[in-house]
Amino acid sequence: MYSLEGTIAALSTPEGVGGIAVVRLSGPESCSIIRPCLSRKDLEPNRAHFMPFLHPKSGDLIDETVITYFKAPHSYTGEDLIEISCHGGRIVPGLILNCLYIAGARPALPGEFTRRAFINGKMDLTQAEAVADMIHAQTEAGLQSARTLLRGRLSKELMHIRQLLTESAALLEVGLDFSDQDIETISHKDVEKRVLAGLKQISSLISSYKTGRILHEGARVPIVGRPNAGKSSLLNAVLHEERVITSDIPGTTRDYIEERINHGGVLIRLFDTAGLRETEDILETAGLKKTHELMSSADLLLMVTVNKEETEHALYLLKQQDKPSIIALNKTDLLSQHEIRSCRSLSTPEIPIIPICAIHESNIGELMETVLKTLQKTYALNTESLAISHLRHQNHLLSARNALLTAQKALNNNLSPEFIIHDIREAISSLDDITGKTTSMDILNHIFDQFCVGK
Amino acid sequence: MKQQNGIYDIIVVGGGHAGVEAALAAARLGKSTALITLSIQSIARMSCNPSIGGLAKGHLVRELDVLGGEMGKAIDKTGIQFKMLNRSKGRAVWSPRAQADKRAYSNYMQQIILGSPNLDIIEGEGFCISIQSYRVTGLYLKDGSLIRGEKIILTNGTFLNGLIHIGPVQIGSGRYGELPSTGISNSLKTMGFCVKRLKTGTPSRITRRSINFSKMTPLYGDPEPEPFSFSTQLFNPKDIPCYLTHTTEQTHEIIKNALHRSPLYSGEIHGTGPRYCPSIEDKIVRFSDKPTHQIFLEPEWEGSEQWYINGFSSSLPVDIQIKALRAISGLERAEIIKPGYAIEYDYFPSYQLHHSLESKDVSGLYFAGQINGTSGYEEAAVQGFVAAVNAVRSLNEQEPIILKRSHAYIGVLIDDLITKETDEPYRMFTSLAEYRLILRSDNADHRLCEISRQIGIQSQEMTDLFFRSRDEKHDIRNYFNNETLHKDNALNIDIPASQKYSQAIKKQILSENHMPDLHQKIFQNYLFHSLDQAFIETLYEGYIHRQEIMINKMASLEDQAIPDTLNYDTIKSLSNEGREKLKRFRPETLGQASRIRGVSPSDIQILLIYMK
Repeated sequence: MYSLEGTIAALSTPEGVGGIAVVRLSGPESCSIIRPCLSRKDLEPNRAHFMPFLHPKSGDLIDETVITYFKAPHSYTGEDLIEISCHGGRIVPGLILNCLYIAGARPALPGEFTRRAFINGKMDLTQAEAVADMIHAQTEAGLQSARTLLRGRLSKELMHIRQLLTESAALLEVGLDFSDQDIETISHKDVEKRVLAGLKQISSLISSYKTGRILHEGARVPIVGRPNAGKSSLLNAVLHEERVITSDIPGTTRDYIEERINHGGVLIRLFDTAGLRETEDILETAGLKKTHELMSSADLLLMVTVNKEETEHALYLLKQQDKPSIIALNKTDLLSQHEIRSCRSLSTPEIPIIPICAIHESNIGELMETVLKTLQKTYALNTESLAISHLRHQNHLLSARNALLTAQKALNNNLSPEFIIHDIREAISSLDDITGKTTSMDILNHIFDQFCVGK
Repeated sequence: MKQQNGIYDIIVVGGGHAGVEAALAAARLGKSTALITLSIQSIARMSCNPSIGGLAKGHLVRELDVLGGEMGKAIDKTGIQFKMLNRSKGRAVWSPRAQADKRAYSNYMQQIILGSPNLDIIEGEGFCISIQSYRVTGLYLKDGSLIRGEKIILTNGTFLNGLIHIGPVQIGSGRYGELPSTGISNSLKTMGFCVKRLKTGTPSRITRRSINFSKMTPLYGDPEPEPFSFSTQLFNPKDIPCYLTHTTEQTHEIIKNALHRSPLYSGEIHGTGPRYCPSIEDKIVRFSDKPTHQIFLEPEWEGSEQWYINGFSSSLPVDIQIKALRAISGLERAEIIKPGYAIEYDYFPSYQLHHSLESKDVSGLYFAGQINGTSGYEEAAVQGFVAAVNAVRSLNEQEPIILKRSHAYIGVLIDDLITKETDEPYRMFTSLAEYRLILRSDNADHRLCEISRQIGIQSQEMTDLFFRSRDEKHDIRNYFNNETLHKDNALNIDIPASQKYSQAIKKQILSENHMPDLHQKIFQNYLFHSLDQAFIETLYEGYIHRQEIMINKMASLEDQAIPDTLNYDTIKSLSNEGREKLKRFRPETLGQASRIRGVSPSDIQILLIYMK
């Protein structure tokens, strides 16, 4: 459990050798803690001060630094925040942090600056999550998507859906709480229109989850195929290094091996897997089980074949999987041009067949380009669009959708409005769980603003 | 009936609907009680519309009835037309409403009050509250006399610095023709209470002989009326009609041209009026595209010469009111007995109170009714009752009775008053109850029988009946869940296949219409009410279950008490607005804190973390 008390300090730039490092200090005592380390008494907010940083007890010079003071609440955390830019490397930032601890700060816990920013109302939950995403982003696409969240696009979209739902509930409430007054009867059509619009937006957010997840966690692409098809060689070829032990003995790879590459801004997670065959070997059987698991959770299947017969079989297998797939026809150095051509003729837009030669790293570029294109096309990895990436969001959206589907059914069955309102309120509460906002009297306020009520 | 030492246990100031319930509850709980009123005749007077109940308000009356209040019985005895509102909707939003005979209602209550042991009526005007080290010691009347008492319940209604507006004319008044009360407000102000102003209004009253009923539509009550009180037997009330007519474009023209003479628009009135009960001039301005508005004519009592014009509340000058009325179909010759008026009055924002309705700062001082910023007889009555029960419990050194939002509309009402800032008079609505499907008017007895027994006012006979019915309902629900309704059943219902009763009910094969037959053939030894409740709970089981899940979800916050000693200034990370609101409202639980506007979810998280 976090304690929100105290003033915290941490190195905000990566550890290790570097030109400049930034140490951050945040909390109510920031100014008094740093005072004994500086020769000057007062810091002017929002100005960079070039000055020596001194040991708080001995007064020894530690480093020449640039000190910037952000006065609460106009800082990242919403508290008094001081940034100390010092020389990089392993030694100086550590000394400065030590001085701050001596002067009364405590080491920050992971994510504590952002947590404080959230708690001080500088950002809502989705924005705080986006900050974490940005820090952990592994590709430009992931970063871009996190930036979209940080700008509050998700919150804005949710607010829009919420507005639709609040209006629906208000329309229905009028028929209950003001049924004794001369208010135009509200048709279910008006309500249904809004509920449907809300459902549509929620559903599109839900289906963006896959996109968001791929942008943040990468696309899962297992390399599968018969034993000794050259799956491990392919992985090595993609990585340009001898990452995986290869041999011409079938079944060399027992467990799977994962490697991540950033290709065209998308993180691709390649899995080298145990070859698909009947086997008595216990270890290999266990490996095969994992291969099947990997295949079912895959975002794209990359199947390696070595001749026409295998390719035809692979096509047969892949058509049964409801996943984007690519066949890499390997060992083309051992095939005749005629055989390669006749394999390629089996290629379809759904399952392209790319001839390669893994050990000679030949045509790997075209293969990876096809992988990237297929992923981008299938999952709309267009970084401009809003995509949710957190399971938490996904779960709340699913509950909201369920509640609205029930509402829709209730509307169709002409159930009394209070039941439909209950469903709608449940959906609103699920949406609020995402942003952390609470419902209030706004349904009633909406009624008063929109309708003629009066006895 | 003072105590031996000349000190009352409880002093109730004001004889309106809050005061009456407060005085009766206190006296019935055996405490020596004084009811201070300007005149005995004005006890339980209905200052505005001649009706009791209505949407959500009917729920309040039923709940009060179960707990041992008088209002339900009084209206059952004296009402002249009964109607269940929202009958075409689900059961949760059905609300009983009755046209009242104002005179009979008020007389009935006066008789009950006069016949009540432990209760003295003192005619006079409360002027100043006597306190000693923030504890109530008594009440000074305007004539200088001191009535000593342990607890004071203030139910002054609209009388505190009441100011009536009729056009440009301003009259210091509590009700039309009655003097306002000025001392109490000042007395509270000097103690440091925050006082604010609200505004409400009432329509003009006209003579019956000047109404042309033949141009209007008569409206009757239900053919099979239902009483408010669970104790009312053999209910056979009168059914006297009201009449419906409409405003005309000419009415609207007259009012529009005279708006500058309305104190609402000339800036004379500073208090905020209720949006749900706007004056006719408000309606015409705000909804200018509506060519006509409904007007209901209601008798103030049986055979009354004085009729109430529901929908025509106004503070325009009398000459305009007459002109505008006479442009309404059927009112061409209308004669006004009392003009409509707006009234501004003092109220005390309820964040200054505990949920027991006792002041947070002055021990022994309770507030109930319109001075807490509510509107309506029913809202006032339940508060008076709760305040008195808790004053008595405090004298007995018992924990106060706090109804939760998941228990009762009364709980929603009081919690809303205390955690939400109202800038208009607060009226009960079903939409304010988040657990509406559970808080029905038909199950008030099952919901509240335990609390009613704990309070101890309700008769043994009725309490037994409540518990019996609740137990029977459980038995019948078990029966529904376990027993099979066969294809060839005694009820002669055509069903596709044999199935459990509960399934047949949920599929609506077995409907409400079959219940009387089912009652006769299978459950003849049970109360029909028990069967009816079992039926509703089975039918709506899914929804009720989902509301229960929501209640449980909130329960962890609702039950987490915030220590009274918590110093919000030491919690640096609270938002400024959140801190300011928390300091002002001093919520007793995290649930309450979460409902205060301006306290953000992150403030709640911080409190959660801080208190661990």
